[in-house]
Amino acid sequence: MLIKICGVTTPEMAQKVAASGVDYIGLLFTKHSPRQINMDTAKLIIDSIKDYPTQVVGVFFDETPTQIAQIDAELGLDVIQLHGDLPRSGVNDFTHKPIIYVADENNLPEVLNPAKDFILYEDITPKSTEFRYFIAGGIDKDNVTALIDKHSPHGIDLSSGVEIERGKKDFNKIREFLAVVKPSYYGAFGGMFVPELLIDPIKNLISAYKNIVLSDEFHAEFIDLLNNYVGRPTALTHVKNFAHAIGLENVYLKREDLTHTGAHKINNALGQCLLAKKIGKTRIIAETGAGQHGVATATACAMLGLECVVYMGQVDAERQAPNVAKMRLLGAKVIPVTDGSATLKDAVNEALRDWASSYEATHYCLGTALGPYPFPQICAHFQSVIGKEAKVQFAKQSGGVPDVVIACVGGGSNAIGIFQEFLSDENIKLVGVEAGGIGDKVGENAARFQSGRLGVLHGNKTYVLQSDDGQIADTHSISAGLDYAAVGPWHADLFAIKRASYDVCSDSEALAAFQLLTRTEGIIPALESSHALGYLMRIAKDLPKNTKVLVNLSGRGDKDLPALLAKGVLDVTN
Amino acid sequence: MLRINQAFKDKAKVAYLTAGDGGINKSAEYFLALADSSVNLLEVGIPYSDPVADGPVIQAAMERSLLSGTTVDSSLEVVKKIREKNKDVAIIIFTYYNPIHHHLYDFLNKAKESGADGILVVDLPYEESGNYHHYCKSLGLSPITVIAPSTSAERMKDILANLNTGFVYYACQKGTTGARTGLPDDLPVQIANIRKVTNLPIAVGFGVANSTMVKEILNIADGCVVGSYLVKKLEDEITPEELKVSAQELFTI
Repeated sequence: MLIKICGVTTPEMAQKVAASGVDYIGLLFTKHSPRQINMDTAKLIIDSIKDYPTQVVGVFFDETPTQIAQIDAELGLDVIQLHGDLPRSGVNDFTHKPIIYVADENNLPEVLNPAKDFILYEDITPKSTEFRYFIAGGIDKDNVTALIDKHSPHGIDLSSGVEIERGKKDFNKIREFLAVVKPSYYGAFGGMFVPELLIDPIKNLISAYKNIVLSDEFHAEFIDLLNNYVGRPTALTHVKNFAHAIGLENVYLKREDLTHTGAHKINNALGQCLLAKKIGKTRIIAETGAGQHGVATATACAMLGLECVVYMGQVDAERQAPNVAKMRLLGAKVIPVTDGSATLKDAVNEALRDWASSYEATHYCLGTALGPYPFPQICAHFQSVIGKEAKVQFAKQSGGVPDVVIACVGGGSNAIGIFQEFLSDENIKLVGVEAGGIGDKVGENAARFQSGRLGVLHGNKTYVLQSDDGQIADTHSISAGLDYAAVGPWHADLFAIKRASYDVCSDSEALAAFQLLTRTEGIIPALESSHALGYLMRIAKDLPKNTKVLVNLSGRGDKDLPALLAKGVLDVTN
Repeated sequence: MLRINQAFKDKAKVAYLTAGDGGINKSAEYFLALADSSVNLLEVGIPYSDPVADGPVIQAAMERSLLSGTTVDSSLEVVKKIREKNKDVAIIIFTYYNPIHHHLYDFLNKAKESGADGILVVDLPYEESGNYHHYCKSLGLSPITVIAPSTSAERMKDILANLNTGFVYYACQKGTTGARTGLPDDLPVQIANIRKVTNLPIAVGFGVANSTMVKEILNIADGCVVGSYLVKKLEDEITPEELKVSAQELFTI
């Protein structure tokens, strides 16, 4: 479904709208509209969206064809929308570019070309022609679904339905509208790019999510397990020594390392396995990078009596050997994957292949907030408990809200788990930290926001590290859990609309943080979580001393010890 | 598009290979050898690093091809080489979405110019297809639609309602591509269900690995696709002539 938002009047709104994946924005020049803009503003708007695929439509109500041509010559419009009689009289002048022709009761001009032009039906019933068409006229989030069902348009033209007052667009209303029309997307990102075979299983999962996961009954059972099996709520710890060591006072850690199995992964694994059981699946498959999701899934399966198969890249299986042994001890079958780079990406590939033949009895328990919709949403939902707890605890201990919330981002489940609760308060800075690895070049890191570009991997549209030719790039990180070429679509959206920022932490910075937290606080963090701490160490000198910082300590570091000790990078000589 | 219709006039014998498997020149020779057998529709696969719909045989072929330096453009070069020598054989391109999505229109345009008649994007379902069908239509390329055993009757109707070009690819097995020993029991029923909602010809593929299966499929469908069985032969550096003989034996009905 193509979305056009008509009457955008500021560059700021245009940028946010374009970043949200809107296909067309319409600019109005007529003095009879409250949405009129002048040429200078039009130029600023066009400049503000030049990096996006969004196209600029000049919408003309009462201009002469000559005036339209002049405006076009000055602005370089992508599309020309001919509305009133006077503009429409010039339809022959604009055959060189796409036209949106607003239909009336008369026949369509023969000069229109279905290969490039659209028809717009405003408040009149679309006629069946070979043209693609928009519908328009008082459309909002409440009536759009019925209108789409009735008219099957190719596009929706919006204006007053996403305004807070006449002539003033409202970004929240626009986002609410997009969520209705494109429910599988987070702005421009997400979707379900899977082979046809998997569409039906995915649709079944969507209804299971809506009907079961979101029910009060399921929620009560899930919370009971979190409290009495996982050990929630986890602590919020004011780490004063660590804070002082880096020149700060108020650093708080949300202690996901204290959960049963030692990382936030159990929140999602347990939720999904519980759901799987409710919908009659007897077998669970999972991919794992660091092994934390694998262990969490194997644990949930042992407790719920489900068969468990975990795919793990050979490289990861070697560097996270304790977790492989743990999974096997818990009764799971661990299948090492030797294809490609033999890391997380390849494990996801194998899990998807397995699911394509086994979906009838098998649930794919995807471990992070990515993949085809609804996987990112399901995972984010089960992880939202982190932020909910943290917000209450933070208020109690510090008497307010954090200034900044920091979390490491592989696929992004722990980060989205803590970020969600703070999204609505725009004064709170949200920072995701990616693996900076050993350098800036492709292949030396897993910094999708630094050097990735828009792509489609594992069922969702997001930032992907890839070659110019669209082959997925190899990645590197000292931490297996961050070593992945794509990032969850919700994060991609938060980055695009600038609600969260993303930075990197190198292997060596992460190692330094790993050791500092261990020595100053007696907490051994996972290498993944150490990236969030390493980033904080680097930027601490630029922060006011009393900045209130909340870091999600997503997991414990025991799993990393054998590999780090073998490498000789830890100081254990005392 | 006419070539595709032509291929289905009798029965379409469809053969898949990965572009660039064996190098660009050799790859074109393999395709041409297939076209010299009874194969009348070639499916040219663009290699991709993460082919989740494919089993081990095609994965390995894609890896070989990428290692030898094949790109999206050089894959189209293979199509061009085939077309230069053979004006009649129908050619469709098989690809994953990521290598082409960045410049979708340009890619489709180049595909058409190189001599392709149709395109199949395996991980671009109907829901996500956006401008894709429109672009194909305006360029005169047939978008080939896949129906799977899991596709519901209602969805089949939605997907196929507005399609009037190319053919329906019925991927008859669950799982990924790769040789199987037999055909699924529900095949006749599934084909009948597809025929209820479209007049387009139906080709059946996934797991077809011997001439008995080919015969069974061609008895009830309009075309038969063979992929992994032929791709596997390239692992052993078979000659184009030998490949032609294999295809001929397979498709003799």
